[in-house]
Amino acid sequence: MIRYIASRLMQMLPVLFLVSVAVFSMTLLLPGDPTLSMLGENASLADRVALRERLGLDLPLPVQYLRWAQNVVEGDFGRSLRNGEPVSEMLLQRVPATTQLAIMAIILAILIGVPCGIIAALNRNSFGDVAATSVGMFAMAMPSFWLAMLLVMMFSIHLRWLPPSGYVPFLRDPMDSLRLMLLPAVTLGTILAGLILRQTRTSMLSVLSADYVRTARAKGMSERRTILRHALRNALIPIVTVVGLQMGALLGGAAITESIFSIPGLGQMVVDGIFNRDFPAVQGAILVIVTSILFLNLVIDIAYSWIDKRVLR
Amino acid sequence: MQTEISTGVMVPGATHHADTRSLDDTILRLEKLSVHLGAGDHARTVVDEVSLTIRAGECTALVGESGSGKSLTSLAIMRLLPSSMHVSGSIVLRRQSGAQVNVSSLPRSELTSIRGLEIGMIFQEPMTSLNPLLTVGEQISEMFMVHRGESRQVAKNHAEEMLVRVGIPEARARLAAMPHELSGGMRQRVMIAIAIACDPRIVIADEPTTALDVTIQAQILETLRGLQERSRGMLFVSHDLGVIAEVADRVHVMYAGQVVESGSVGAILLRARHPYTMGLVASVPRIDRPQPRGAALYSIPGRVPELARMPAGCRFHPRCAHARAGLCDRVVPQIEVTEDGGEVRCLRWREIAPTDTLSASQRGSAL
Repeated sequence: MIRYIASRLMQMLPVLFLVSVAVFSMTLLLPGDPTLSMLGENASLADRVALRERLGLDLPLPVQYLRWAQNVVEGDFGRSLRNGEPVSEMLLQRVPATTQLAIMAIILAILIGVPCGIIAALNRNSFGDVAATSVGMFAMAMPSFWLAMLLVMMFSIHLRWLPPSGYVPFLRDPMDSLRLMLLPAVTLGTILAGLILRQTRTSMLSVLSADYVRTARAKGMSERRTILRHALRNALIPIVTVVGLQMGALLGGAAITESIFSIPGLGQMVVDGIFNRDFPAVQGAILVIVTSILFLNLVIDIAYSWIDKRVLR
Repeated sequence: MQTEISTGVMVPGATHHADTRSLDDTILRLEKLSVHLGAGDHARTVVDEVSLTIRAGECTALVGESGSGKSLTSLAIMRLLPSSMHVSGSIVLRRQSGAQVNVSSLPRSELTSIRGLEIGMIFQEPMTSLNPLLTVGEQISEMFMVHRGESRQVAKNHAEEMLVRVGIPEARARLAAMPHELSGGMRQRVMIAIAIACDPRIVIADEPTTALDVTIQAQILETLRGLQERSRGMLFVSHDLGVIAEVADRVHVMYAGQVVESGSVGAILLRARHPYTMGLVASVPRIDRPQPRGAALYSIPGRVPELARMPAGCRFHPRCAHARAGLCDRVVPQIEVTEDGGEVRCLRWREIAPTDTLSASQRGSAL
């Protein structure tokens, strides 16, 4: 197992390298000479050369990349071009918000999608199956901003159960944090639940007609044990794949949902950064997103090997 | 008292004592069991009024081509048919407690007390019939944990004993093996271990050797025969007469959903009365009776009729060399009892002399 994880980690390194090169190259896309924009149009050539030397811009590109990469590894992503705030501090605020939203949304989606998918598969073509599948399809097709607004109108304005927007870090006030995060999590979770439901249903249907499920019944196993122990475990791999992919997308930040509910998350940071040409902020956010998606893939691979021991052998 | 038959295998031809046994030996009785596919006007009968008996210490065989309904019959006994099919007639099981139940009318929730406990089942494909994600040990010990309420450790010890009983070497180590790590023969042994784990009085084996290569087939048959002890009855489903000759006491030949002939294994193999049975026997290659050089092995002409186009009269008449126009294509034959205790479903069986296989095959190769 440890060897398996170690080899997976090693495989991540080349990907991380390529991504960091791509992210670093973004600075090269900046039009014009950065010394001009920093010192002004009337700066003397000597001053500009001095600044170029101080910033290391006179060095060959590979050396510049190595310096930048070293800083990043040490946690220094540079400063925001907009307000001079260190990018690392911006990330420290935003990563927890996005992570909390992603986890709550995916848990909701699993809690709704997997049981409904199993029940739909077991009662194939029944009224319940058709209803669940149609609602699932509807949920998948629903634009998140529209669902978000419907939820706010219902639960914040009409029923006054939940606050319409805002964010409190979980560690500062867990209850308030959960209350504030509930509507955005339901927005994203509903859409994902539709996807997970359909995947679970399809996957269960193919497994339920498998010979070993018939064997489990022939062995005298109860219907419950047949489904949970023999069928579901075999159906789980495609479900885990879908959950993992969606979790990755969520970690990238759900910019629209975050803006509607005023959550300071990574998605918003990327969008703001792009609008403001704040390249260090975008670089930092993208590096964090890509790294977390890579780690998430590792977690999924470990989950595969836990479900299916053949992966390790 | 053994008789040499077609495959060159020894059969206990005259040792069957089905007819002399008392009724008390009966463990399972099918009475006019039919399986219907679909409902309403589109309903088709895929198994038509099969009646047979499984007795303690005896192996009853169902033989027929694919599509004859033999596997459906065995699945019907286990109530494992797909939901698009339903059953009529009765499946009377005498439980180990002595109580008689009709399996076909048992509520679903009570099936867990029949399956695995009263009737064990072995399937054709040991690769796909074992759960690919669970170890061999988990799949066997589950039987003891669920049915006997044993702890994981005790169940594991029992699972090891079962592996030893079905002839798997290094049983302790094999408990941790995954199904894909075993050979086909070993997997089928694991299936057998699961089927007999809780010591059911009936074992249904549905083509248990068909997916295995020939040398392994013989070993598995040997293992199955070893389990065929005193109190246990077996239902053996196969299309392979050579295999049937080795294990069966009584044989029921199925064609197009109906039993067309039944009798002791010796009677079926040596004195077949139904033209279909004669054709089946004649189409087995025989080492003691070489074919003339270049002559094709006999095969029954035509093919099994489709459900939607079942012929009128006798279902076999379009393929039958003895069919008589105006009789066989008009009159539906009923089961008739022969003087030696067998049954035959043929309008002309008295006219067609009970032949030995030799003349049947000569007629066959002349076709």
